[in-house]
Amino acid sequence: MLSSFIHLQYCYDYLVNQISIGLLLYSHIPAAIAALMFGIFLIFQSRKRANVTFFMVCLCFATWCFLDLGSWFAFLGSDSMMFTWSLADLFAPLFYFFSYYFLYTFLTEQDLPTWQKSVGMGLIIPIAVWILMGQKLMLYDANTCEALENTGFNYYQFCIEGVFLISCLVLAMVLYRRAKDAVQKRKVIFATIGVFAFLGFFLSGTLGVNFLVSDSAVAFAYNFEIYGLFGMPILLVYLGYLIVKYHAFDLKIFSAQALSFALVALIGAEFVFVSSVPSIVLVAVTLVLTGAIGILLSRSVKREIEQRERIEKLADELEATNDRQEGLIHFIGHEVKGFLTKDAGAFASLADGDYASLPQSLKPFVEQALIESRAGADSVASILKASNLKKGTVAYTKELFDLKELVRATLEKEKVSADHKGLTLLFNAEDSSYQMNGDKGQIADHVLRNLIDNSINYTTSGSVTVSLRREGAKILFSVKDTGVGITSEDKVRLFTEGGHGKDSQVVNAHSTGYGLYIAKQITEAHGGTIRAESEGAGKGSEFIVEFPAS
Amino acid sequence: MKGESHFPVLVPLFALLIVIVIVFTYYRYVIQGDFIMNVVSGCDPTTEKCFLPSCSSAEDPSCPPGPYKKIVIRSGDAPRCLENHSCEHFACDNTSLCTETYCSDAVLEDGESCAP
Repeated sequence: MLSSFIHLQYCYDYLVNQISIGLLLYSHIPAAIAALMFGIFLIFQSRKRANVTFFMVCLCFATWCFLDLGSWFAFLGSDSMMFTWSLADLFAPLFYFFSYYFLYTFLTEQDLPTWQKSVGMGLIIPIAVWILMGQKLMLYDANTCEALENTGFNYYQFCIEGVFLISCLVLAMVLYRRAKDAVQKRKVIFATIGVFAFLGFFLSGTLGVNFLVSDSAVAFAYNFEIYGLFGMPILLVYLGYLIVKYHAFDLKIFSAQALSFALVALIGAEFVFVSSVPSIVLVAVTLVLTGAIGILLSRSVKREIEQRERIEKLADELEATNDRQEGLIHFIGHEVKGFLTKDAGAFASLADGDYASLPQSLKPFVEQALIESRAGADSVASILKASNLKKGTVAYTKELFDLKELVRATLEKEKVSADHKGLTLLFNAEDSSYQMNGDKGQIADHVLRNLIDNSINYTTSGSVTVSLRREGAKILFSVKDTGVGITSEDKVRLFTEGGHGKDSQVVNAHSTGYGLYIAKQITEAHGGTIRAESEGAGKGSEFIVEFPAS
Repeated sequence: MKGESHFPVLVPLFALLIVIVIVFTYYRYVIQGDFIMNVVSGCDPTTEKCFLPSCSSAEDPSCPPGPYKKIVIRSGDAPRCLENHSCEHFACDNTSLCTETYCSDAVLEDGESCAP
């Protein structure tokens, strides 16, 4: 097959004496095809600037590979050799320029400034003009089947390639200093290493070869440049991986599509080997089916990824909305609490006769208004407390105290309410130590008083029994009543934020639905647990709190 | 970008330049053969002053097999047998860019000698 391409037997004999044709093909063609396929693959995934400029790097590099191979194959004719050799030295600085362009767009996610584009292109224009004028290659030496290069041109080319290389380093240093976080800094380092290795590898190879050629001490100096080509696809894949990693490009889609592509390529390659019609038909059918399934698989994975991204976006928006809502609740709560507290203060002053004696007929109304204002302020305070607990902004002042004494003090205050309703308030405490570490005020107000208050509010007749006992390292506090009880339906909502029992507001009109939620948060903040037990509606209930003893 | 509005044709112009270079380079080298070729050709030492090879063509394929003269010719004007080193006898004609260099002390390079 190769013999049909040999126009100059002399040059073919000269070449095979110098280097293996297979080595030339295997060093150039896989590198070119890998670069081209990878570049095309990435640009089909996304038209982001980084992907487009990376594709240009791959395209220029692949073109250089094919042109360089052409410059080796002088047996095709001196004319084609001179053509490919001269153009190879145009595409080399081009992929240097696009490598810098890629690094800039990849790290900054912006287009290269116009002045930098102008400078980059301006540096390459003299090379293009020299080639256009035929000044790049001085002559063709038919004795060695090689071209004689213009050394001045070569030095200029190496200089501008060095400029692009150094520019990559400078850009990396500037962006590294500007990077806001460790992730961005790592991105700069990895990308620069990849680009610098890719370009540096290439430049050192060609520069070294050029030195050997000019020295004339080494025969067949151009042979050495091909060994550098084996490493190029690795570096290209490394750079492509960075694009995938840092552009939130989901690896699942990439893998699914890469797998499909590889399968199609492998099956397609069989066409080279099959010759019979049935085999060709079979391979064709397999190819079409594999391609179709690959497309469906990729689409399915892509859809799944898009749905997940949509859900994540919605979750973020929901969180933001919740934060805004919390802020609004706080603002309104503080304002309303302020008004109610002032009202309570005014009514208290009136009831106490600070300004003048109230008429007897007015006193009950003022006293009722005072109770309602205080209850209103307490309700708003509960809502604000719940909000603070949810945000985690509540601070606890922990100290060692006797829970039994705290329960006794709370019961003294609650006795008035119980007596008012005609309920019996009982207290049982085993003879033991009830020392615990905690915020005395928060526990008294929001756990003990809340639970006792609830039992009193939801018991129309009978008794409320408060118990205290020790169980090993735990202190058990319980409030048992003969009240309305808790249905299984209501149990689910008991300790939730704003959770009301189905008929709770019928029995207790002032129920905010936050009391038990707050009690639970504070209990758990002290390493304890809280639960409710009831045999059902009308059968009373018992609330049990466990605290760790000191 | 602000700058791009002033140079909207920068990239297309550059791309056009590359295409022009490719096309004209192809025309120059492949169509016209407009480049200088340096080649050696057979020489008759009985009538011409020939170079003698100082190497062995068995060891070095680029070593001329026998007495030779140097020819510098425009590739487009050269017959294929010349660059393939298979012309029996070649001589420049006066109508093309072609020079023949015969051996003399003035033109000898390292490793070269003249036939007696």
